[in-house]
Amino acid sequence: MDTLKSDRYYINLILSGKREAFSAIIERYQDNVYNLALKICGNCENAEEIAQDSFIKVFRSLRSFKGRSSFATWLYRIVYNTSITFVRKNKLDILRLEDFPVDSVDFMRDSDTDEEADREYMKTLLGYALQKLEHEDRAIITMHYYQDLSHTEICTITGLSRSNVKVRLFRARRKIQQIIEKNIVKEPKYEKV
Amino acid sequence: MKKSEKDIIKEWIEYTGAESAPVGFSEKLMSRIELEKDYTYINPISRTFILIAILAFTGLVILALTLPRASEYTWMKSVIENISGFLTRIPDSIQIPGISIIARYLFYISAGIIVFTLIDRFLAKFLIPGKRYTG
Repeated sequence: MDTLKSDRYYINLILSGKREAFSAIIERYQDNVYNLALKICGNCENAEEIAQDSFIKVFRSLRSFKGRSSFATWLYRIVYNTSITFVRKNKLDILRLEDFPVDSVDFMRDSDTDEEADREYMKTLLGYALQKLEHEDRAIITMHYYQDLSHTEICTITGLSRSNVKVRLFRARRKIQQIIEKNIVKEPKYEKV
Repeated sequence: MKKSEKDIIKEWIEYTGAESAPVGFSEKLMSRIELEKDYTYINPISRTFILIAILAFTGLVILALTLPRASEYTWMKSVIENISGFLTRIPDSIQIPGISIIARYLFYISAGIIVFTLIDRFLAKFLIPGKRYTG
């Protein structure tokens, strides 16, 4: 509730002509917005472009935000739609490679500690598994696990029904686990996670 | 106890963490925001469509005003006889009356589009403030 108040405070400032107040909104949401865009499109440059365009759209249509949902939900809906439109327009496909293309040794070479190497390896593997999912499923996984959004919020953002979100979440989870189990290097450190 | 898929994925995600926005993201975005200019009009109909509608309307008016007069000229009569002689074989009911009915409806439709456009612009001017990117 406090977040909503604070968001509303900045929105009112922006609408009264103090456009510099928008930087507070950017600072608050930029990581989540970028992360969601990145998980959907799978590419850093495209994710930055999508995130920037989404914020511009938000700025342009701030006056139409009536507060029926939280500002964050409204913002993520814009990011989700912008990202899905982008990947469809640019025909960004789902990853077709059968095997995980990176060797764990590469991470040992580039990292200072074993733990850092573990983390980077797992991160890349998880990213790889996400890229094997449908764009919509990646978005749902990201919103649910990375941003802790509830099923109801995800329904509002994606426009999907509650049961559809649950089914997609279940299938996506299963697929991620299968991909990771198939590709992971069986070392004690990874199993500890 | 065996961990569920849900817990395993959650742990992986917590362990690996989320990506952060690139350095300078906020500054770059704010410089784009600075280029946004206030404006008070969103045009929901494309300018091309409005131009075509106005041209079609003007064309129909000119046709309606000039054709009867032009047909009074002898050269126009010979043109009609020589070029569109086939019209004389069409039954009277769909010859001139048919064309005039179609022309009348086209006229009404064009006038409707013009009135709609004017009302739309008028409303948009006062009711839909917004921003425009000029960079």
